[in-house]
This record gives sequence, structure tokens and C-alpha cells, in this order.
Amino acid sequence: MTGKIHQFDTIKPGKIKTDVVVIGSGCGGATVARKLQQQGWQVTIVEQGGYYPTGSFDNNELNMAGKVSADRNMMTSNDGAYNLLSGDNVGGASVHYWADSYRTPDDRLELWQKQYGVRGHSARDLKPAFDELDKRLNVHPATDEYLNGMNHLLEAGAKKLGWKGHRVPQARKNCQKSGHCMQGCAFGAKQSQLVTHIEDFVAAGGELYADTRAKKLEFSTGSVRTLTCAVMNRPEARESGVLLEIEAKAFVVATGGFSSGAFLLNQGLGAALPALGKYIAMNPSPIVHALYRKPVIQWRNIPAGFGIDQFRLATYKDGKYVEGGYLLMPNQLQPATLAAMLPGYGRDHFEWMEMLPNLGGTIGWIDDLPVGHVEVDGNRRKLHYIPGETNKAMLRDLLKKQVQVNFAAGAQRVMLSDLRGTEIKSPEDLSAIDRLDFKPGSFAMASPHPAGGCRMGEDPQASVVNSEHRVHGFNNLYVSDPSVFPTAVSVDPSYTIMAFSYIAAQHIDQQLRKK
Amino acid sequence: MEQAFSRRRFLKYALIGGGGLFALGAAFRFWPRKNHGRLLSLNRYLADVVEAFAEVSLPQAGMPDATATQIVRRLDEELTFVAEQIRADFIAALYLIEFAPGAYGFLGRMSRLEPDKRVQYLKKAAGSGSDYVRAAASNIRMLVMLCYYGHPATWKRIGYDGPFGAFPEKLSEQRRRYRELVAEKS
Repeated sequence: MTGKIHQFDTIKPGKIKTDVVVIGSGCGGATVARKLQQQGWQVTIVEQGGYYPTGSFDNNELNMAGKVSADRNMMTSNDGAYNLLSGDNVGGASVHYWADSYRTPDDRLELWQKQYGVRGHSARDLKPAFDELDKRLNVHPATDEYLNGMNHLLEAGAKKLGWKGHRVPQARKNCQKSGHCMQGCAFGAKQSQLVTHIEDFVAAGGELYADTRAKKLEFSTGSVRTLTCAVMNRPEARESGVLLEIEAKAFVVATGGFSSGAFLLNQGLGAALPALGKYIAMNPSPIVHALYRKPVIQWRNIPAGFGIDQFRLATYKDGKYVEGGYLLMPNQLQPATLAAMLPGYGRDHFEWMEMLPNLGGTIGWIDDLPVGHVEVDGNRRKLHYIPGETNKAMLRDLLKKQVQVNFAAGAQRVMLSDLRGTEIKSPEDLSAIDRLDFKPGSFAMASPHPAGGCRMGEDPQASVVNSEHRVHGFNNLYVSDPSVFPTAVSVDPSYTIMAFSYIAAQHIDQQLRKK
Repeated sequence: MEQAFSRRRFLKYALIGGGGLFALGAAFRFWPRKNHGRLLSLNRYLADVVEAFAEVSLPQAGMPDATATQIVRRLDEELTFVAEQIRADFIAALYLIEFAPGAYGFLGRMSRLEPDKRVQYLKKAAGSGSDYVRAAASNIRMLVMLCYYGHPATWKRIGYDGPFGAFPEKLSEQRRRYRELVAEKS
């Protein structure tokens, strides 16, 4: 029995009846759909983005951003300060992610349990999911042959400084070392949702509607009855006028960390759920550029095979931030995106670009406090994120460590990604970093890992879903994506999203069997 | 305290402030510098702004220029397929950068400043105390660089060996549609 991926040019107006409808096909949506299908339920996935199989990938940076990145990576926070990265395609952001696959750190799960009242998501609860995912996604630590020059330099720099690092667990099979993880893997080697859970789902009879934007949930006293979707005209990136109505027993929102809160706000749930759209973290990720004597060729092989976790957890003294709160990785960008992130104009900028083979550097994502919130205004979604003093202090500390490790690795020149292009002359001369204020537009930075907006907890005044992933006040509306996380994960969140989706599927299955 | 800063206000100020300067500038000279061909998201004046910005942002000798790398055309294409709010904000940013030189001691619109004055202005904008101006300069610069170094004509000189596997380009439905729409307008 084989299902089908329906696309814009074949979807007709009409009504569909199914057991479960899942909105979104990324790490959360694809995983929860596949698990529910394995439990015997008829599941339908709707995905507003297009279906681009690996055969349509050409490794061209701009072309691929138009296929596998939401709004071609041009979406920003409301003040223009942070590029918000997400997927808008079948497979979601997993199609352009780096394949880093960390199990959720025990300390983070304990924090969520103790401070936010999350139940049933302990390391023990998640272990069976991770064990199964390890096999399906072929997760394994990066080995030497997959480390490019920048990875080796970072490993050497960390060793010199005595900083603890690790080989990053990778979801890959037969990697060709192309370096095009962010453009989608043309070889299907990166084990994204597109080539794993989606493939399994369709092969087992699942129906997936691509180019289908979820618009309106129809409620009936504590239940959702139907979902109305608008089919997109993919070539023109607009709604086509074709509508699809889906009736189901359960509805799962999995549109991603930047979107699920906004989607539910658009359904008018903000008044009943005061925490909806709030407490958003997004791992702001500053880059430090570095020129090395020998070529590093940052654009080939896997992006982050080695990472520094010495400073993963922030330390505080008397309630005041002291140090840490981030992972530190080698940077990998193809030249157009690298040029965009490299500061300067004209000759100043080109002086670095013409040394591209020798141009390396690092990136880190801070384990930021969840200070963001989203609001909706008609079709506009506004993500407000004012970092606050602790998050700024983390950013500064991360930048200092990046400068230090690049110099330790032998960098000849080191430059920050601020708009002024501040060059740091030595690892002792870090005072310029203390003066950074991170005002909008002053520092080029992306935010790839949203968390929150539909925070999990037991108090409907302080959270949106309970520990069963069910939206407070509803008996058949669920959320299964990073928006349920009470805080950021402190490591790449993809694997945590998938494991949490296993738990979500268990609860949805149990609830459906009660009916 | 959170700064009151909304895209709507940004757009409003950009357009109000820009409108006054626009009227002033029009008294001097306001015809497009060149014909950029058919475009879908940018008008010909904004196309001028993009190209003028690119002229002083990109490398000079030995590298292809903004025209050869079709920056205006590619940027127009990219903007055509993003969300309306992103397109509107980007256009507001172009107007703001075009009409803000007076606030930094430069007489005239950005696109009509001499190149050395233009780059001085953009550097001042980068360090501006205005969140709007800084964010506008930053985001325009990023997209110009993205489109420029995304063009194959720039790759050899910077030592990039091109996309792995050297596959032929596989155009999306949107890229094909853009070409059709531009041809239809011609």
C-alpha cells in the first residue's frame, strides 16, 4: 500500500475525513504522523510548503534557498535584527539543517520538570525514542574523514586551551562530503525527515498534502471539528483560491517554533491562553570570521563534526551571570551567505572574500533566556525579541571565546560580524566586545532554533499545552514541535523535537482509543 | 523597557520622512539613471537605489560589476516570492536609505551621491544611532552581497570551485514563472 504526496497542480476543492490531521511536516510533524500511523491511525499531513524531492536539488545556494528555506531566509525579527531561519517545504527545516543530533541533556529535562512542571518527558521516558531514532536516522559521532579543515583547527584550538569538546552526533548515511547540508542534500545522505519519516509515512499509505496552508480551525465546545486549508499556487507563492476542509478526530499543530504560536493566536485562542505566543527563545548565533595561513575550505564536508561544550551551561553567582551558556562550533557557509554575513563594504569586504579558501571561523548558539513573543496582525506575524542584559552578556562571552579559540587555532586575523567589521588584534584585546550593545542592525546574526510560544506545563495561565501535548481546554488539539519547549534545549533541538513527538503520539493514541 | 518599534511605524516614518525628502530631491533630478528592464517588485527608481548601493558595496577592479551579475534582477526575483510584509519592509528600507543622507551631512539622495561620498554615508549609516537606519543599511547590504556572490561570475576570482557535483541548474516553478512574467511585461 502506497500513499501519495499531493501537490498544488492536482489538489481539487473538497472535503477529507481522516483520524488525525497533522499541520506541518518537519521534525515534529513528520515524526508524530509516522508514529500515529504505526499505531494504526489514518493520518493526513498538510504542509504549506512545496514538495522538492532530492532529485530537484542542484546545490546552487540561491536556487535552493527558494526551495527549502522559508521566505528565502529573508524573514527577520520585527526590528530587523535577527534573521529567522525555518523550513517551508515537505520535510521542514530538517531539509536544510546541519544534521546535528543530540539527545536532550538530562539537566535540561530536569529543569523543565522541576521549574515548569513538565511530566513524562524524563531521560528514561525519552530513551526508547532516541534508541529507535538512532537506528532510523543512522545517528553516530562524526569520524575524522568527515572533518574539514575548520573542524580540525577548532579541535586543535580547544585542546590548546584545555576546553572540553566532542564529536557531534550526525544523522547521515553515505555522506558525500558535499558541504551542501544547508542547501538540502542532493544525495539523500543527510537523514532529514524528507528521506526518513516522510518516506516511511507515504510508503505505508500516508497522504500528504503539500502546498496546503492551514487557515482555520472550527471549534465546538472544547473540541476542534474541522480544519480549513487554502491550497497554494506554488509558482506564484500565493493562495490559489482552492479550499480543502478536513474533518478529523484529532488535530496536531506542528508548524514550527516560529509559527505554531502565531497559528493558534490566529484562531482566537489568545484570550483563553495568556501564555500563547510568549516565552520564545531562538538561539541567536553570532559568527566570528578568521583568516588562516593555510586553506580551510569551510564550504566542503560536514559543517560541525566537532563542537565545544565546555560552556554549554551558563554559570551564575549571586543571581548574576558569570560565564557560558552556549555551544561553540566551526562555521560552514557557502560563499553567498558567507559574504552576506561578512561585514564591510567595497575593498574592506573583498579583502576577506578574495581569501575565501583561507577564510574560516566559528559560530555559536546561545542558550538564551526565552524573552521573545509573537503577535499577529491580520496576515502579518511579528516576532519581537529584545535580548535583555543576560542574553547580551552571553553573546559577549561567546564572542570572546570564539576569538580566543580562533587565535589558539592559529588564525592570522579575526573579525566580528558587527556592521562596523571590528577586527580583534589579539586574544587579550577583547575590550571592543564589551562595548557591543547588539542594537538592531548592528550585528549580523541568524536565529535557527526557535523554542517556546506554546510552552508546556500544567497551569493554563502560564502554559499552553499540558504534558500530554494537549492544548489546555481542548480534548483533541495538540502541539508537537519546539514551540512546546519551556526554554531552549542548550543543544541543537532537532532530536529533542523528534523524541518529544514520540511522547505526543503516545498520548494522542491513548486519547483516541478512549473515544 | 521594550522599545516601541513596530514595522508599521518603521514603514510610516520611512515613507513620511522619505516623502518630504523625495519632493525636495525631485526638484533637482529624479529620472532613473538607467533602464533596468522589466521588474516585478522594484520600480525603476528603487532599482537605481539598489544598483547605487551595490556599486560602492562590491569590489572594483578585476571583478564583475552589479550589472554583469544582474543584482537588480535577482533581488527583484527574490522579493517577488517572499511574504508581502518582507517585501514591503525591504522597499521601505530602500526608501529610507535613499533619502536619509541629509541627516548625516550629505546633500542629495544616496543614489546621486558621488561614489566616495556614498560609501562615507553608508559607513555612517552603519554606525548610526537610529535603529531604523542601521537595520535598513544592514539588511540591504546583506541581500546585495547574497545576490552578488551567488552569481557564478564571481566564483573563480574568490577561489570557490562552485556547487558540489556541478549539477545543471534545476529551476523551481517560481524561477520559471518569474521569467515568464518578466517576458509578459516586456
